Amino acid sequence: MLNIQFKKGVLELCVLSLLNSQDRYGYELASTLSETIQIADGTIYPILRKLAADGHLSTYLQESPEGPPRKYYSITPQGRRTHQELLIDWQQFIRHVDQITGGDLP
Amino acid sequence: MNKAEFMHVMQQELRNLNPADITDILADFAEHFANGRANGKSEAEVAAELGNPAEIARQYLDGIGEETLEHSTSPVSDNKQQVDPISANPAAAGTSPADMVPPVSHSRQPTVPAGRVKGTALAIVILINVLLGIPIWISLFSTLCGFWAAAGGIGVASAALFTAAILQSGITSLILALFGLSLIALTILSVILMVFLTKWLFVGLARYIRWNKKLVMGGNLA
Repeated sequence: MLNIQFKKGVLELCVLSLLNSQDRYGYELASTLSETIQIADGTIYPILRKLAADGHLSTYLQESPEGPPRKYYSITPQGRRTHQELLIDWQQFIRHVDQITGGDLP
Repeated sequence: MNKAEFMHVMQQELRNLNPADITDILADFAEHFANGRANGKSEAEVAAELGNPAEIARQYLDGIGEETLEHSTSPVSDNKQQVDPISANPAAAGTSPADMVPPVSHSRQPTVPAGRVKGTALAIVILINVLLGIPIWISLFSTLCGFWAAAGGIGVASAALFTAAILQSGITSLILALFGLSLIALTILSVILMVFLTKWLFVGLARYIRWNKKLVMGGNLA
């Protein structure tokens, strides 16, 4: 299985990507991500909290039709910048891995 | 595990945080349970999907999650073994995909399988050793032996001076004794110096031999 730090960094990128298009609430983010990447739902909350503490996300409460109000996460301008940087890092990384696994390197 | 049990474990594990943070964190999970119920899931199902509360709590505490990231239902493989010095670094809290995965670029990639000797490399190493390496090392060790002999010589001289001082009398004896004393000091000094010099030379030789092996074995001994 992949290195834990690696997965954590990728999760940050995924969270920022999901929030780049629209605001979402925790449960929504957790279930979306755990469907595609094999992670425990609970993992997402410490990451959301850290991203918010670092100023990449802001939060607000909004009433929901079913049940209690939901905490929505919204990406900040700083978050968008970080997202761009992470995305570039990620694409570079993927390209290097492709080169190695594809045998393009000497 | 139901919601109450999950929340209880979280609360216990988070007790070192400040109360406002604990309330905030627990509220996130209470909301998650509520949303799960709204989606027709039982508390036990939601708790199972969330994962181990103690491990989630630890992610809040140190900012670095370990096993928590592994889904509880998926086989938890050899995470521990894959943790390298980089991921053990607490500063890794703010990792980006670029700085968290150096294993690929940093890991040593042996270009030649262990044991297989590169013919040309071996020939070059033998040539270098015959022409340069062995003569240089022999001269270095000869010099070392010479220095040791010199140190011994000074020691013998000081002993001789003291003997002479005993045999003589008056001012001559005093002068000889003083000379002897200074030579003893010189002997001690040179022995100390020689011990270090000898050590360095042997360390150097060991490195040189390792470097030679590395050249021949294609980096497997790095």
